[in-house]
Amino acid sequence: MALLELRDLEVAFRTREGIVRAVNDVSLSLDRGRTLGLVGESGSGKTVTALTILGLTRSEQTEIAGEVLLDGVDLVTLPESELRDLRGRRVGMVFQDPLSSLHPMYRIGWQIAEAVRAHERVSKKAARARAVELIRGVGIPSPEARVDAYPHELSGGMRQRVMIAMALALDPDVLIADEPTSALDVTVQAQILELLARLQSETGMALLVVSHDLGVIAEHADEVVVMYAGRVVEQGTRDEVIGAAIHPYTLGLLESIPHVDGPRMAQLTPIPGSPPSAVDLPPGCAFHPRCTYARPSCAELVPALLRVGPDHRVACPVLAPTSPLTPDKPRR
Amino acid sequence: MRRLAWSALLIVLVIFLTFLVFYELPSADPAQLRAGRLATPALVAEIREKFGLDRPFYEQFWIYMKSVVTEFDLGYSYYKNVPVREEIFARLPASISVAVGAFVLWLAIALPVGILTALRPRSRTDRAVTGMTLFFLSAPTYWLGLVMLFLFARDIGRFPLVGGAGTYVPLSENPKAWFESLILPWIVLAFGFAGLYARMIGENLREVMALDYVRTARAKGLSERRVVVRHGLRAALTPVVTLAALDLGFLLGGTILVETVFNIPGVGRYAVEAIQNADLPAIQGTVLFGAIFIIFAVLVADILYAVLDPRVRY
Amino acid sequence: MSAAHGVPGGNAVLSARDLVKHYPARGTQRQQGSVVHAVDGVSFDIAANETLGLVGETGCGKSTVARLVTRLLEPTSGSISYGGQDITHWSRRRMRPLRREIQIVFQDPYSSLNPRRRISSIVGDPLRIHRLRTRSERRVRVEEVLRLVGLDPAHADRYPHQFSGGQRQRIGVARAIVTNPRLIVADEPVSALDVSIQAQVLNLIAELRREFGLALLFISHDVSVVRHVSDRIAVMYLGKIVEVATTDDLFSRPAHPYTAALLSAVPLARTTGTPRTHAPVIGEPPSPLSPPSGCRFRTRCPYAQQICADVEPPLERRAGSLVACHFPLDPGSSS
Repeated sequence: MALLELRDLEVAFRTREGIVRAVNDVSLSLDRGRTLGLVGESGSGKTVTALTILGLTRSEQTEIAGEVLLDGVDLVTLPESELRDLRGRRVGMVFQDPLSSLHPMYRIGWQIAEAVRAHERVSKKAARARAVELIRGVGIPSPEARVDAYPHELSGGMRQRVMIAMALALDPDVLIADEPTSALDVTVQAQILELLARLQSETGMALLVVSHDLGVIAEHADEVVVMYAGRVVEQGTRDEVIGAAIHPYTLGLLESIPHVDGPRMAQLTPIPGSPPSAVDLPPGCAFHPRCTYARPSCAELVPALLRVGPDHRVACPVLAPTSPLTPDKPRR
Repeated sequence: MRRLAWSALLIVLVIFLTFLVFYELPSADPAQLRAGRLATPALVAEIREKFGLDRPFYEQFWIYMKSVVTEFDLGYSYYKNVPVREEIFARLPASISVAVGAFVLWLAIALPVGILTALRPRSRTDRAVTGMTLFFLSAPTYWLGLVMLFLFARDIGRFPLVGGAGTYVPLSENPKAWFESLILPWIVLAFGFAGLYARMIGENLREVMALDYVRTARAKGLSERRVVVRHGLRAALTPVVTLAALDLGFLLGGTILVETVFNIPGVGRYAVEAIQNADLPAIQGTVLFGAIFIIFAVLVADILYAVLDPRVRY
Repeated sequence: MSAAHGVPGGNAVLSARDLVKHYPARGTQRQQGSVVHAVDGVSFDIAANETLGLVGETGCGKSTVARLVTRLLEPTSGSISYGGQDITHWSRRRMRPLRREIQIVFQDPYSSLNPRRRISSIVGDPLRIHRLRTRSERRVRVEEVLRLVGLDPAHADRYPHQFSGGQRQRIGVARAIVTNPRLIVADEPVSALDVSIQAQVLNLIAELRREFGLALLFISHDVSVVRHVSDRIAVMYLGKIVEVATTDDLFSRPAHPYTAALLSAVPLARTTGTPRTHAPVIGEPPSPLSPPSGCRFRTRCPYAQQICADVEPPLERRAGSLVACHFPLDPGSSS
């Protein structure tokens, strides 16, 4: 049994413009010590998927279906009070913008200590001492002094280290990092990614990295899930998805990014058009209006994920190799 | 330090402007008033000389400023020939009772209602608050005060529950009577503010609750109550606190209409009397007090903001 | 001097010399007399039909350079020449005819277009302001330009919110080229866009440049994007240019340790080769309020020696490129 498993997760928001089906039929699984990269562009549903794992999208306007299994326990149906106990303790989260994600009016040590005290009966003094150790553990120099700093007194990279220290305060089994380096400069990004890798090897936690950056995913994920318009279009190991991509969208993404090495291309190969609006998705395969391989049938049926390798699944009946073509799972 | 200097300058400017208005645009001759109905021109002239009213404008202003600054002497009332400072000090407790009581009442209403509307937007409470605010804010204070009196005052009210106009008793004498005499003015003053503040708190909190750091707080596994109070309200109330300090300052400066309607012997009513009698030193005194309260409130508000929000530094 | 900055024959469209911009410090860090060294002595040339990429991380001063060379900001010192004329101190009025020759494309396609105006009037604005052509001719030109940037001229009467992010940035580009400018300054033009859309806009910019022989100052934090569009690249760090080289030289033989770090920090979207285990440099850029003495990169540089703290390295020619380093990397030593 996987440590974390999502089965047919669906998230829909009722808005004034209509129902936004942000996440549809997303299934994935993650084991201890492994890193899963969830990649997609804005509006692909990757962040909603990540937030829904801890029930952070719950509201009166949200409908959540499917299962989120943590050690076999379904978090979707778990009462709020029990779910709250898991947040931070068994699953930690790091967000994109560390400046807006830290409370501007509390000292960082206080904020970390608060995470500890939310789950453990320890004295304020002990919690603060823990905060100092955690700050030291994420590589912030002179932690005894920094523990009393406010977020705005730190640099971007230091703030993200504080977020990581806070997320790891209770030694969670899973760390969800939602665009952890997107607000940072590339040299600092490298440091933060290195830190995450080091902490993972020390604690053996499972890591779910959500990113729009294929490079970040390619360098750090063991498994990759590609999302488009709320659905998984391709998933598999890093070598399968990045090295031997099949889905036209994954291929399009890989071809549209300029590289820092190799021959310089006169032209990039962009994906034509733009992503669809979440309230008005195209019928059938949501990618078909932008797809150069599209056939008339693509506008009719939502393609099922087809198994094309040991772990490799692709939601494209046009490009998936014809044999052995085994539908992984029927889809609505 | 620079802010304090600015505040002092502002107070001088306020005094100067009041001086200007009442000297350059006299509604009545103060000397004439002081002399009484049967005054001889000689008496008027004598009074004029005694009070320095024959001196040029700037000299009078200088004399006044000097006594204010050196011994906080606000001069003698033309009308009653008593020191203005003592007159105002005697009336301050009543004004402070009105202002502070209303302040406590409005925050006591606004805080829970604001939180409720933020957590349950578009609910019935939310709409009710909007309606109440609109009513109490748009209703003229004078009219609202009279309605209150006709409804609840012991002498003329339909439901004689509490003391009516002119029943003010100092707190030190009889706390119960003090409370009963002030509850209606408090309500008249507080409800409009309460609605306004409830909406402000509600809107701020609703915005803050959608921010990233509130999401972080939830992701830490904090209880919803702690998320709202320690993370949401902490940020949502900071601007409200400073504004409340300002509004309290305004109220302390004298609540003219309410004190008049309810016949409360406060600074506000004193100001009205002073204006009616062209009693310049008294007018000056009340304006000066009002200005001091307001400027002090601005100062307090700024300091509070810096204390509450570590990102702000002076 | 101009030869030292890379344009032979002195036919530069735009020349910047020793540009300096200091701000008084604001907000929480206000101390008596402290100064933000946003740009601290930056020189470069751009020739006609050339794209100069300006790359660097947050706070290195690259956007300030964009606003200085377009005269939206007054430099503290230094000079800006356009077409051989020193325009550093030209009045607003004197600048006006130049405004149609120098255009800007901004980063954010959402906030840089007035939401209440139709795109025909947004794009036609520069023509109207400079009183170019008649009303009907302007309309024709606007439609022509819209077609050029890949938008349907039939949509000219729509409002910005009816377009996607990528289309909006096309509108921004259309507005910039409608007056047939000689120089375009593009400040992070694709940073707000998703990768699939980013490629569309990058291709568009490359096409227009080829077609019209524009000089282009292309500013970005993303080295791979800058590599794709630029002929030459200037690397900025903390208010200074640390290296200028042709694009191929810069990427194959980075000479400044910072350039090398910047290049190797970019994660690669492929599976060949071993993933990196160590970040190329430690720490973050120091505050521009108090830049380090000597070489500004020395606090993070793995090769720093005492001299780096004592003597500021000048930007010197070295094997075809310009480098400001006491210990430039040997060609071939970098991976």
